Amino acid sequence: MNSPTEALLRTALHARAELVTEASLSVRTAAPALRPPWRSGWFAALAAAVLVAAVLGATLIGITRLNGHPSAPPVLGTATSASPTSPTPRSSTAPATTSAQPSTTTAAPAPPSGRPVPGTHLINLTLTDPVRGQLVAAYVAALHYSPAWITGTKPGSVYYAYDTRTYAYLAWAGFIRSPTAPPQVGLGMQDGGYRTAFRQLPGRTWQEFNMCDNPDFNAFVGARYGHC
Amino acid sequence: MSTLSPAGLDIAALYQRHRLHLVRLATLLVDDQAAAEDVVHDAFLSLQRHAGRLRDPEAAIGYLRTSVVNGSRSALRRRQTARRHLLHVREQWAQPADQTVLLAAEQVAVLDALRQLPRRQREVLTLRYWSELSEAEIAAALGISHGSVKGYASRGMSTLEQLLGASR
Repeated sequence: MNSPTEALLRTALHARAELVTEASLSVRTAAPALRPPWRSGWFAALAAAVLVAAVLGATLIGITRLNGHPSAPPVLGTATSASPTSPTPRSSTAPATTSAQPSTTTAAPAPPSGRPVPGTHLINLTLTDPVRGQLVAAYVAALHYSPAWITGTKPGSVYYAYDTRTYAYLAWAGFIRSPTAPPQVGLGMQDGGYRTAFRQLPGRTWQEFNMCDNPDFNAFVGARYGHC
Repeated sequence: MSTLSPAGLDIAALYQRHRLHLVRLATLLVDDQAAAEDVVHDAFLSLQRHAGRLRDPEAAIGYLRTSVVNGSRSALRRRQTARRHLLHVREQWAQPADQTVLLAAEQVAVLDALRQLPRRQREVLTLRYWSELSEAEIAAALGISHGSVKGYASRGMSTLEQLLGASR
């Protein structure tokens, strides 16, 4: 039995969809076709590279033979043996930077210690292991996954703050799937599906929430959440 | 011209049969027909590339549907990125000027409320009430469990009712 809202939603979706008609579509009458590999850019580049390498190789061999000694110094410019550069360490700092948060579900209205985020009602908090565990549990529960399918949060992906206006803890986290998780989990985590926003209201557990409801937090995470 | 893939898929026929439906689905998800058409085109290109890996040709429409949902998410994310970095954004994805005339006021209100839902709830409700997919099909398209589909649908409807109640 459909509720009035369900019926209204169905009607509205159908009405909106029917505004898209065959006549309104761009003129693309044929299915897209892939270029054959010999017409693609990378294939031409590869062929050119092979040709250049062959010519250079043949030239070098010829010159070596003309010099009459296999170890004769090459006449052409030699490749410099640049000293290996040490890789620049990549910063993997997590956005959350400051102090801890109570791990119980009964969040007190007293604001936790942390660094205020300028221009917002937020306090930037450091993610603790108990809170990380709670977020993983909330993600697993929200998606009805087996706990073994999610191994933790993605390093550097967790934003964590306290909203002094609503007394809510807010988090936006990316999660890592276990290699043993079914392919369906990988599919669900594609295209941003691995990241989820959570809110913990006083005395409640972490729940998914629409970050567009909290512009401060959306700005805090760099407005990466998406369409608001 | 025959567009039979190595797996025996007639992609041209699939395109003719499902293009409009998929563009409509993408339009409901991204709210912009031009972007929706690109999403669907990309989905067919992806099908061309990966058709050899499809074990069951019957799965092609499921593959396309999943590609469209994922492509729509990417389109929304790109749009958000553009808004973040451009000084002046030309809203190419604005709704058609006549949309509000062609839709009843309460339908506009429902669609506005739907846009305010979290992404997964919006996707589940669209696949359920427009694509008329079963829970199993929605779970397969979104890569989530049956339980999650039920949960998202229930929470989505509940929020939708609250939003509509507040706007009345």
